[in-house]
Amino acid sequence: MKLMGSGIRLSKHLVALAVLCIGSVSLAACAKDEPPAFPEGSWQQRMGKIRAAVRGDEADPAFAATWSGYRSHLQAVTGLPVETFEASDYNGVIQAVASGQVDFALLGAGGYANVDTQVGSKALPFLLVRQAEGNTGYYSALAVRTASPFRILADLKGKTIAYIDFNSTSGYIYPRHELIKQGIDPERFFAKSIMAGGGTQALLAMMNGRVDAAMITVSAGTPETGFATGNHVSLARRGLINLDEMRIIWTAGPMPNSPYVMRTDRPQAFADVLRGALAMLPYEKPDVWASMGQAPGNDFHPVSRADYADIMAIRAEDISQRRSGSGE
Amino acid sequence: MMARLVVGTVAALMLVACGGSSKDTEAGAARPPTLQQLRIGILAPAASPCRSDAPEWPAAQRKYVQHLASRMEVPVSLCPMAEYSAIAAAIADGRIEMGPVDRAGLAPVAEKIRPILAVRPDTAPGRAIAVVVVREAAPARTLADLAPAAGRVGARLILSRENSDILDGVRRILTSAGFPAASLAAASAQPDAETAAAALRSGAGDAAAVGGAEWYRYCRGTKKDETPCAGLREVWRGREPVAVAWSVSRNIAPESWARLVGIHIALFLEQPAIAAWLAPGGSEITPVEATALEPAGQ
Repeated sequence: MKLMGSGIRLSKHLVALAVLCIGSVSLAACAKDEPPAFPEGSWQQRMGKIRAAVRGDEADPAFAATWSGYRSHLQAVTGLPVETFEASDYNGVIQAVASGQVDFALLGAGGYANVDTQVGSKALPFLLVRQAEGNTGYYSALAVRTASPFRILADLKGKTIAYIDFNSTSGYIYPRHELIKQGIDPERFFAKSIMAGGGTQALLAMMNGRVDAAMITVSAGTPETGFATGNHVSLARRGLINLDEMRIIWTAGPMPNSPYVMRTDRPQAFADVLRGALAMLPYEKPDVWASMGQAPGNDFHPVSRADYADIMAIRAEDISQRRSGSGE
Repeated sequence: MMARLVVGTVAALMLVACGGSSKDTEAGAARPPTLQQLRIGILAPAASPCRSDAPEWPAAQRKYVQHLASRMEVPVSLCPMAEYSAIAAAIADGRIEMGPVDRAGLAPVAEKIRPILAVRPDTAPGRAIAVVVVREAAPARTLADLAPAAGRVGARLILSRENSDILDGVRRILTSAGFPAASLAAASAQPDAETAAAALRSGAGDAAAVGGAEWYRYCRGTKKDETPCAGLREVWRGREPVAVAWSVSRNIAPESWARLVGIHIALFLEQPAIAAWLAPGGSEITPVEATALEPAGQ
């Protein structure tokens, strides 16, 4: 199910007519999937259904489909139908949460910071995935071709770079902040930058020679040990790159893993049941957990807004700088 | 043209409206009733009747009951009992709904009750997961087949030292499975899963015990259609057992179960004073699987 796509532009009247039709027709079409009658005033009766948003993962075309495991589990626990909406870009999920179109979503930390700017405490993070070794963060990595002459960050002065997305924590917001902290103004340091739309697109743009360097997402490791997962490993496993043909020359992090964010204007019972239902998944449904690409031992860790305070401050600073024109 | 567009849009959006609700929904199926009250067993010097409040209770204890009653939306009381086995029996008999239970207490009523929550060990990985593998042709089928037993020397072990915390966890798991300290001390500690697998293939040991995530990443490979674990067979995987876990009836409604989990895992963030009283010395309460109290390999 796609959400917030560019779609077809209709006049207001046609949209209204379409919505009217959808309302009447789809109610009939979906009647057989209606949940059982819940007690008057129960949280299920008030919610009617659960709606979740997820961004399609360009590294794994089947990513959104794997949410079917979550969906079945949540339906079994709550008794409510669960709809998952797939957005093709970062902004789609952000706006779905900010507008209240969905009840919860998996967002990047920067995406959550964006939502927080828009609606504040009406949406809050509640869980993140903790890796088996206990890490709750991940890294940005600057990748170049092995055959290139670039060995250290300074070698990229005047060269071109692919970022992931303006709303990407690891692919834009955080590493730019770290570059600036190191005395490098990314706007002047790099001759040209592009937004590739995803980590794998950024990496492919670099491997194809379109840019000299790519900012990607990596995890399951440290700069000292190397990273066992990330955009580079995903692409290598799909046969699209060979890990020997690229190297990482700079990293930034760790930054907190992507949070599951929930609307707080939903019943408290829903919040508690959802948190519990997700948290029990690695223990009760290890097959579903594995189908989500999670390694054994990964689990959920409760988080709050405070865990993302640094990212929110960094994003606010970045926006402020861009609006004021400094750094451009 | 416009009419066709509208009809087409309606058709497309109908799919959107209905597509997300998969047919495997539980909607329509009979749902077990949720908890109507919550009587929680607590370990005390002597058993006494369940109470929802008492002036002599610590503030955090009183607040725990109030917090749970508010969030579960049912009456909550605490039921002091002298032993874990008494708590386990009371859950099995339906006299209470939840309480801390140890392995000995669980064993007689394991068919009726199960653990759902425990204090997370204060190590980076928490409860480590181990995977135990052998060569494909090896006769071992279970972890018990590899452990030393009367008249039988245990398997020669290969471990991975890629992550020291995980290695410690794997050792505790093997100890729980019956491997003596001497067996673990004699184990070959390889730098990582790849070298552990190579050592196993070469016959340097009979079984490799590696952290679950490390093994997963190794077996996944880094090239298309790569199968690094071919020729090796997994005989067991599991987490470190816990000593005590809050347990409930196996008949509990999934919704009540999830709600209890959701409330308790958030306690250290939302209600740190309550959490400190409930889980002294801990820093997080986590869900656990049904076999969490059982020793490895059983």
